[in-house]
Amino acid sequence: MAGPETQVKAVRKRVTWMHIVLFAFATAISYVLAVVSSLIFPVLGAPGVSALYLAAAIYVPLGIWMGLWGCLAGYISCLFLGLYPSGYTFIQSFIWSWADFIEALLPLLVFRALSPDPDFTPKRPGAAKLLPWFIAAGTTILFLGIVVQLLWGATYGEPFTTIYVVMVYLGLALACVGIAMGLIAGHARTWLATILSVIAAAFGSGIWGAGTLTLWNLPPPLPAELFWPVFVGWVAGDLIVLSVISTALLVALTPIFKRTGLFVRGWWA
Amino acid sequence: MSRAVSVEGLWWKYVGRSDHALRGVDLEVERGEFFAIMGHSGAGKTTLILVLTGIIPQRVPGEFRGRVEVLGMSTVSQDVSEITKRVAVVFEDPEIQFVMSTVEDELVLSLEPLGLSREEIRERLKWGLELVGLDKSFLGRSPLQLSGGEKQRVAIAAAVARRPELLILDEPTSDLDPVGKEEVLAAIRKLRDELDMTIILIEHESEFVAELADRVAVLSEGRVAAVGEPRYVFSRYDELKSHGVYPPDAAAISFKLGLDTICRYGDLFRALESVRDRLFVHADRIPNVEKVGEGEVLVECRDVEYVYPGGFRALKGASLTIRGGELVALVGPNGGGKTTLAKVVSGLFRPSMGEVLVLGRRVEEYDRLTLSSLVCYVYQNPDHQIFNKSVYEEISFGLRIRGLSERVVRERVRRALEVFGLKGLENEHPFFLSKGEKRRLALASAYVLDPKVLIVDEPTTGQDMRFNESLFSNLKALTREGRAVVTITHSIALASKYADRLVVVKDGRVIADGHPRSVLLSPAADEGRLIKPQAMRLAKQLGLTAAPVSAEEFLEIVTLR
Amino acid sequence: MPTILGELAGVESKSSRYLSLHVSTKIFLPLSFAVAIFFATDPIKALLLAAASAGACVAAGVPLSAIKRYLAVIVSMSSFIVLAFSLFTHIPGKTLFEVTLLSMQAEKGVFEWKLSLTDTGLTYALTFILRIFAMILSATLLMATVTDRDFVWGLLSLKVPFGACVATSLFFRGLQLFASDFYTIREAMMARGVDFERTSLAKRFLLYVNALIPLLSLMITRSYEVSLALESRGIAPGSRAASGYYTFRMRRDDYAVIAVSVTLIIVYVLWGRIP
Repeated sequence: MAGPETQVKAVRKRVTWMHIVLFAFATAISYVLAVVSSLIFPVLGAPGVSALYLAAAIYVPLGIWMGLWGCLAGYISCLFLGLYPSGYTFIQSFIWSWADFIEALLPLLVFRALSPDPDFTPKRPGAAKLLPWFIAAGTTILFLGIVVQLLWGATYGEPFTTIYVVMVYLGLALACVGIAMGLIAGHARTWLATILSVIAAAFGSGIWGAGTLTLWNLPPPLPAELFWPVFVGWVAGDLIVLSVISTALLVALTPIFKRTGLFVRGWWA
Repeated sequence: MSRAVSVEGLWWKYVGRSDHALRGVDLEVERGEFFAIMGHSGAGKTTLILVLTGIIPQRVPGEFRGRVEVLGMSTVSQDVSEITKRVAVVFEDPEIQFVMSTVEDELVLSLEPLGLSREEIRERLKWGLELVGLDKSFLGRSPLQLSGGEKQRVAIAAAVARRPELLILDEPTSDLDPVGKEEVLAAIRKLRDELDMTIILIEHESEFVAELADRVAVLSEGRVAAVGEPRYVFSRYDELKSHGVYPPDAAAISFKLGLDTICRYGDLFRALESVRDRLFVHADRIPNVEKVGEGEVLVECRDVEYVYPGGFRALKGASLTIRGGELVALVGPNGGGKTTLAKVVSGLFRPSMGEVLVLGRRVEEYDRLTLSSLVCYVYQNPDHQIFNKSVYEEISFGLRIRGLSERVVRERVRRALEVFGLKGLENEHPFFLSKGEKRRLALASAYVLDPKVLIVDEPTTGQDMRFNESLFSNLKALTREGRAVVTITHSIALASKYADRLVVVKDGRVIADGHPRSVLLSPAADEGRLIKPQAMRLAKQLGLTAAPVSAEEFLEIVTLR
Repeated sequence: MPTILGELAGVESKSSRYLSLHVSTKIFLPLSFAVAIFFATDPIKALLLAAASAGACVAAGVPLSAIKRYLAVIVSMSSFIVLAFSLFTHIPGKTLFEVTLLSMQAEKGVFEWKLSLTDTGLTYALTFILRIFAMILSATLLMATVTDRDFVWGLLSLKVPFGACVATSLFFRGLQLFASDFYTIREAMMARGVDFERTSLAKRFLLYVNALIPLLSLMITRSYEVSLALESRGIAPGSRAASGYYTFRMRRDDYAVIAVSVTLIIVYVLWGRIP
């Protein structure tokens, strides 16, 4: 005999198979893309480091959509990348891979602070398409200028100091244009969060990634002298991938995660 | 407590959707019954299955209203893990049901929640495999290496090894080729005959339902449109067609000949045998064997061979000519080379030997942009070829990379939207389209490039007959514009009805090429393991001179005096 | 059952006693090489470690031709390590070769960029390069002797929740699945007219966005369907294997290999302390 009529508005708040399966598949895709990137766009001398690391375009947005699952996907895909085809030991890879965890974690934290319910609907599609290039170019030039000053300008003065000043002003100008475009492209807080996430992720993961490859690890696989070339390559590549590809994927796929109820507002569910 | 399933006033709406997927469904299934559910794609059949297991509403967000009891358990208050100890489900796509690396691990995983001992698990593994006609040697194999039919049988074995009281089979044969379908059906017959369990089968093929089911329900737009014994339900011939359900040819023939509705082929044959002397064949209505191949030659393949990078020789000297204005159906067993041949024709694969000419020029002489404008290939899974975030952007993608002006793009997209019934969906995200809409979107995206030859790979898989008829009708209409359409399909019934030519591909070669009727009457039909339309088999068995390809044709040629 | 390296790179190990060891043993041995590398601070220690890991690979049936796949990695790393110690810095020692590439009068002195090779620099470079060999061999030993089934069974035998075990299995399954999807999507783009070979690098990069959209859509759709199938099997993600079906017993061979691994670590730690 059936019970009384039931009315239920189901709300999913616990970790379910959907989270776990999506995470497993996202990690697999990230690993496939990580290997493809390191083969197509390698940074010579630093295996596993790619000039354009496409895998980040998967797990960084996944972190924004699904919280710590994205961070874990980044970590595990990098762990396996370290083992094959990069050839690092398990311990080296175990330590190095936190770079990708940080890369997904920082945007997650930025979005939770600034725009917990992101809306990527572009009100000015032209601005939304152009801003990644301004942000990537501006930040890269600014960063390179600072590196020039740190490595040579402080010790040798001119002409390095002039190069530094020009690059800083140029970089800042481009970045400011990018930020302004972000503010008018659509929902201001969402786009601001996007810009800050890209920059934070690139630098944060670069410090850990390049540092553990060259400066500290058990032991680091590469000499300390290679820190700056690896760090600069890492940051520049990440800025391009995150600002161009990740942003495009966030615009295209955020509606799917929200409409299907997959969007995670907690950390795991 | 004799009911296995009791559903009262069931309403369900998925989160993010505006319409209810189920609207006031009332249904009852008795214990021990073999109950079938039919309906058009999107009618709510799989949603209903998810409700019966408690997955809706416990795991899937949405709005639920009504009362549902399965084996005496409320599907709302009893946890899914408890319900699924007594209810097992086999889904349509065998791939998604495998999560482990070997068949053994897959079966063991299914049995883990039951708290059995190691020895009991071993016993059940053996028993489950034997029941579906597989032996112990399958245990160590990877599920991914199995054929479609074997995969689905492993999925059934994993389900029945749990000795469920209720077994639900959700379109278990729809993704399979004819050989696979037969294997799975044999397994289901065995389950029905040997086990004392309630079985619910969701199926599009009315022949199977007629053969197996005690009762059948028809779902349409989220509601129950008809329920009862197959004989009774299938007698409502025209009404069912409006719900996207096509009764078996046997039902149509018996009904229209004025006999009591007979659903099973064997029963119909015996009934007609008994009135053999009253059957009259109108010789003047027997269609002549039609001439094929008079349009402009668009593509010519001569002795083409293709070897995959791993060394597998998929094509061994295949030859094929495609002419304007014809609909060509490529048929044959899985692994025979149909898709490979289609990709060679479209220039996606370069042949290892032989040549392919498009409009008289070798395919190597074309650049990709030009070639894809002449010969366009549409993949079996539309999800592989939807690259954009709105329907409009998707259709215009190919035009944009060709640098066409915005005005031309807008006009051609508008026309494609109309031809494929996608008007009003321009701004919709393709992810949220139904399977049928995605397929039409994929076709529209190819059509908009105005190709001379359109190649469509298995467009009917997993779709209901109404959609398939409409699709083939659309494809036929395209040929009237002077194009050629090549479709890979397992549906001989549809191919016979709409195609101008049937090309049978087996073991990397073309073994037959001609009008569907002549090919089906030739030895190549058996060699290619083609399942002839029921009407044709019936006519042959009755010794009639005609060879109708459909129930409609049979009824036109044969009357009862 | 192919090993992980077999699935990823088609390199299969020959049948050997090592392959039938407990999965923990097969993970512990490469791990011990990874720990010992930390203490391989001069060329002799690094060379011996590389030789030991090569020996372990041979004993395990791993074809050393697997190293062929790492050739590009080894060459590029080695070159850059030598450059690191000669171009990006000057290691004090006997100068073997020196050339000034750039000399510029700056505001606060002369900026010189030299290629400078010293004996100490070469020693450092050799140590690093030999360590790379040891590193790659130990990673190969791990990947070429462990199957994904080993991992999953290992986790199940340790009563790790089903969520983690199934996720591990799905990760390995997903590799093949999505690699195949990626190529199909790329092919589908070609069918629409995209010519990857004749497109500029920049445009190709942007086209990857269009390729990733269907890849991720497929990921979501498949995840949804697989998760429904898992729910319908009554397995809760937090539940654990209770049947005792997944049991592994350590054998004498396992204890012997573990003893060798521990000995290796101890030897290198102590050796590293010898001044």
